[in-house]
Amino acid sequence: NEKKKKKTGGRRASRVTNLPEGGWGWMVVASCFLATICIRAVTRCISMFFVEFQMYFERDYSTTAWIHSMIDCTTMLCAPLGSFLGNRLSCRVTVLLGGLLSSAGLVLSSFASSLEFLYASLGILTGLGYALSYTTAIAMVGKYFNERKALAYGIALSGSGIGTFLLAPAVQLLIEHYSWRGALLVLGGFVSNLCVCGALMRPLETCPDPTHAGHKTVQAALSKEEFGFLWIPRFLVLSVSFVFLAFGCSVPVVYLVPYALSVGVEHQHAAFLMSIFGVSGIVGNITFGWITDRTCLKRHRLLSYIVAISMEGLCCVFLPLLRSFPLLVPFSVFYGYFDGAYVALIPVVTSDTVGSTHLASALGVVYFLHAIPYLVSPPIGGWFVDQTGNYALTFFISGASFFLSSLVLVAASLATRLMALCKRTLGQGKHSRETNRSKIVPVFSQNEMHTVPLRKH
Amino acid sequence: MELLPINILLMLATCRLTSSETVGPTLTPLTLASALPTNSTRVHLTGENKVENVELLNPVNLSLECIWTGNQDKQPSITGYWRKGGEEIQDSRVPVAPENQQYRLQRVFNIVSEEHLGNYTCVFENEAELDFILAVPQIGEKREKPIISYVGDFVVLTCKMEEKKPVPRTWNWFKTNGTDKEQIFEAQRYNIIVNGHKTKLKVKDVSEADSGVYHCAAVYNISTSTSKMHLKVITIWEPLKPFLGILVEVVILVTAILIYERSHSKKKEAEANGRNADPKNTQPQVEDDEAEENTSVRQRKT
Repeated sequence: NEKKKKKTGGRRASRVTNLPEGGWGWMVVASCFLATICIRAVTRCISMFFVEFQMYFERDYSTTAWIHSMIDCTTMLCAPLGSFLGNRLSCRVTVLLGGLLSSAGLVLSSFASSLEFLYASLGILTGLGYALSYTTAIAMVGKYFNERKALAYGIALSGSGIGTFLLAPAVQLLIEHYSWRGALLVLGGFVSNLCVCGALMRPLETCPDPTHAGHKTVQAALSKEEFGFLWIPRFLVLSVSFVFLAFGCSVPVVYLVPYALSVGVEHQHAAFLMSIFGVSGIVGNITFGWITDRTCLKRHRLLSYIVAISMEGLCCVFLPLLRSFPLLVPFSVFYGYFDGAYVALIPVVTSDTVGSTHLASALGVVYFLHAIPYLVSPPIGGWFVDQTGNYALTFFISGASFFLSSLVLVAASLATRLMALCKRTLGQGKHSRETNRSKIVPVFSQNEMHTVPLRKH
Repeated sequence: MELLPINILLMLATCRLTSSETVGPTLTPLTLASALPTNSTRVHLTGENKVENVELLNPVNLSLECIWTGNQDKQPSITGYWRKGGEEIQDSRVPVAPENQQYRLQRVFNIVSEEHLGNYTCVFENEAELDFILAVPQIGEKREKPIISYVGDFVVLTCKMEEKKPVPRTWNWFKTNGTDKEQIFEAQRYNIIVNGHKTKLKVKDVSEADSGVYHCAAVYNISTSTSKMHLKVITIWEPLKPFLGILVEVVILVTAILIYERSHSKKKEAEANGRNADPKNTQPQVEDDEAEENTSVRQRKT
């Protein structure tokens, strides 16, 4: 009896088709991996061009550094547009379009004659292309997996760390051989591989027969309440948590190296700290995803996410106490690990909250919420450093942001459990018998699509 | 102490010899007198130090002094002399007697022009010696990799002297032409900007003939220090080759994937048609599941 219930639960999750959980799904993971390399890793490597831009256009560092902020900002701000197009046209066409736009932006930049031209071609055009591809690619993975969602996302999103690792020396080599113009041209070619990613994003086949009629009505309902998911209390709480998270997470990464230099660590060691952070992030991506998919933890995905965030906050709060290189290395390891962990879990948790049908739109909103904090918190952190003369306050505030983010989720989860508990003890006999068997729980804990028994019986 | 009047005479003699052109407003013949103490370099000879670098900008009287602590032998007198560039300086041999168990060798050198710079060595015969390298401040950052530029574009070459080193009087730019250097002057295609510790050479409308080695020279009163860089001019075809290669690869992959998918879906359609041909085996099951799905959906909605 139980087995059958679980089976229907699985079917209900997909509504129109069985989730493959493998097969072509792994090709989609590979394609998302490549897309993450083309988008996130390339964005990080753009900062390697700044010295060249400064020399050529004869401008100072902060004016050139705006390019990186613009690309990042546009990618996040236009994420809802990406998910909107992904819903209207197919995911495949959107990623293809994104690939064409972003590589066109890079190719145009190689002919730039002024820094403002670069703002437009890189910041706006390439950023827009990235926005179209990024959310759609990530949403596609969620459509193919449910049981092994965390592992799939972990592998797919590790592209950012692995890509930076591989691309950084490659971009350096390109700049040495072809100067920044040639390097941007070749990068444009590389980014056109997003079209290959798009081609791999095979839309899920809908069962052609009995459920076909059901499929049509479901689609009609979808287009009505396409953005209705926004008002689910669960999603609102999650959004608030994400905003706090975004404020906290960008600061330590930006200020780790300056802080290390200020406490007397040498330049090479400080750079090594960043490498450790990157590698640790890759490990965190994949292993935490695998761990969260184990049967014992699968129902507690949100809890794992909360644990990852809290550990990040803890690391941040301890950072001002670490004042030498041997102490900062474990910090890099742990902080990087949990950074990779939560990055892989963001789409998982979002997908658990809104379901795979709304995942694309929800992800668009999630990344949109990340945009402004990413843009605004490093300068604010820098202002605090200038005012207080040290980095303690900045890191403390980041840690507090992380804690707030996890606190919001814990509070909401506890609140819903309490409500459910109250409902049951308030006695409706019929209800209590039904909840014993059907176990439908509106609780803010993991996979809403799977029926989950209430803890306390 | 008894050397002092001789020193002053020497100074006054050199005052007349050196040009009246001075670097800054503070440098007058009077301050040259006080330049002597500030431009004295004293080094204690121990086991480790082999070389002492002395940076000079202007013509100066430089007093170099070596102090050696001696060894167990405690010789009453030892011969000391000076070498320049490997050759012993004439009349520089003096006997050195220990004072407070230290042997002291000192000499004043008249550094006026470029030929006076170089490698000076104080020698305690058969015992110890130390090199003093007299030179103008060297340009620290050297760019070993060639600078790449494209035909028709412009290129900016920069040279920078460290901020903590003294400011050069001016900067000059040279291009290697065969075996000798040809100075570059401000012209229609060349734009030279001198800004204290930094300088920039902007070459416009670059062509392949502009490839080669360029030198920037920091000019000080006494000499100049140079640094070189390599400029390489290429056409747009160079990076276009890998770019087109990658594009071709992308087009091939996309077409291959789409063709594979089309053939795969055609296969599936054929299979599905085949399955529809035998009806009753699978249908009841499907209906059962569908019914269960519907009921559970209904349950959820309430």
